[in-house]
Amino acid sequence: MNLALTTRSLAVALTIALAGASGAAAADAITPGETQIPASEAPADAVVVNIAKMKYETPDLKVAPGTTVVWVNQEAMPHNIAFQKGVVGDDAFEGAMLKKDEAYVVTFNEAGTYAYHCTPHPFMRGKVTVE
Amino acid sequence: AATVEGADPRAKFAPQDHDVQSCDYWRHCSIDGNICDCSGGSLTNCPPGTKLASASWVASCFNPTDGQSYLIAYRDCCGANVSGRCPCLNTEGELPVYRPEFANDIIWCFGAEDDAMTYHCTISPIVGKAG
Repeated sequence: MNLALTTRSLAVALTIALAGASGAAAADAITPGETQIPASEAPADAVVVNIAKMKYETPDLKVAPGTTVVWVNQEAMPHNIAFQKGVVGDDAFEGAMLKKDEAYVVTFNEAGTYAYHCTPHPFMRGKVTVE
Repeated sequence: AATVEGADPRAKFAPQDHDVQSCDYWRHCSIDGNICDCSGGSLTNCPPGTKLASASWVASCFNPTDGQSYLIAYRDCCGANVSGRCPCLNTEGELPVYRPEFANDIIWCFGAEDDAMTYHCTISPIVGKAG
């Protein structure tokens, strides 16, 4: 136990730096879904960003204001989308974790550039440009 | 398994499918910390009063009963001091912290309610078949 806990403790600071964001309320810039939904129930008119092989398949997306974007996880590894502080509001925002074939919906209300990442996988990054 | 009495700590991981509270239970093939089933939780649920994290590390664990491998998303239960019960450290498929999706030294409390970041124990739910 001591070894395990020691190594875990040593990693706390690094982890905080990696993730950088925690759950918080979204701002008016976006209207997020309350939770994950089955991919089959995603809005038909939404723009789809698939997630597979540790990547967002459309990492640089451009949409018009009012567009609904849905992220669909296509692999067993759980993923989400998260915005750091100041991106969609004063607070950070963290979307629900998605298992395989689950989806998460966000409507972008205002023009701007919204960079996001996956909470447990900070090397997974994407961007939605609303213009 | 790290703490199976009398076992060689350097021996190859030999999973079993009958004792959830033992470090060599197959789903614990990459657990680092304490088994929640030993402190009021279960294999897949947190003990009362603790907060379930949404983010996790994962591992592909072999189930000796059906001969299949499954992706386990190790999720920490947070917001209380470490349970101290059933400590384990297994590292099947574990990778260094620069591959965080497979790194179990990290405190994976991200996404827990109230921003809880204190480690208590870990659950071992299946999130899919390892492809």
